[in-house]
Amino acid sequence: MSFKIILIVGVLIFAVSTVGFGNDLIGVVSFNNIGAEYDILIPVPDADITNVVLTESASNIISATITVKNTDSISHSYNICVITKAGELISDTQGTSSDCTNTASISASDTGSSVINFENPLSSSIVDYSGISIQQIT
Amino acid sequence: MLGFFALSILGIVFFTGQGSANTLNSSTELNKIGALKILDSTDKTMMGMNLGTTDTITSITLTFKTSIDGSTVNISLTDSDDLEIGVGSQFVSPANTVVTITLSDLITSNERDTLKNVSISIS
Repeated sequence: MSFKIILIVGVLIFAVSTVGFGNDLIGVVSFNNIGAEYDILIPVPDADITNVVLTESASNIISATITVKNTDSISHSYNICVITKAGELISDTQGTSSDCTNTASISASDTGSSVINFENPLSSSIVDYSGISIQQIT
Repeated sequence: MLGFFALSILGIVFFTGQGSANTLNSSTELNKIGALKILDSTDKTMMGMNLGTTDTITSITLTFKTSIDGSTVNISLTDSDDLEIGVGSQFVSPANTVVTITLSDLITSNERDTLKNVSISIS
């Protein structure tokens, strides 16, 4: 077989492999496993959010109180994070975990609250979005 | 030589089919990262939302910063797949900052575990 045919087939293989890999590496705006161990078990927290209260002080919204119910049969504590947005203002600073607080240990079927003080108080009177995350830590 | 090419092509098919095709997404049920998102499209600023402590949700009490008068407050609750699992509305008059909305159909205990989004509007 001539060198030209080998070269053509080689280029074809390279082109096909490039297209093949490239198709599935499109970034998506979601949590993914790139650079991570595969199939790490992260338990789903046994908790329900029961109450959300924003607190205002001197015309600024300065904190959120999140109440969760432990729906499990044993005690747990949780790490709760909140990001709240008012127009262009965001209560947390990107890349930090400042707007997170751990709850005390909550008994089975009981509720517990956590106050999260915003790093950036929201001066705007119109709050339009809140995002709450829960991670079971014990 | 032909055998070499055949093996190369099989290798490409293998890698593209297995290595790259495996989803890079984690299950949305993996954790409660982003456990609850509240979208308030009213201009009244929702200061409080009480979902209750029972396993099911039959009504939700909302507290607003400014009072509502002569308007209807609507609420829609969806799960992690964006399927609506609860909806309700309440006309407010006279003026009040606290509104209790009874859902048209209760949210079951299983549905509550998947609750992901709450959307509030006024009309």
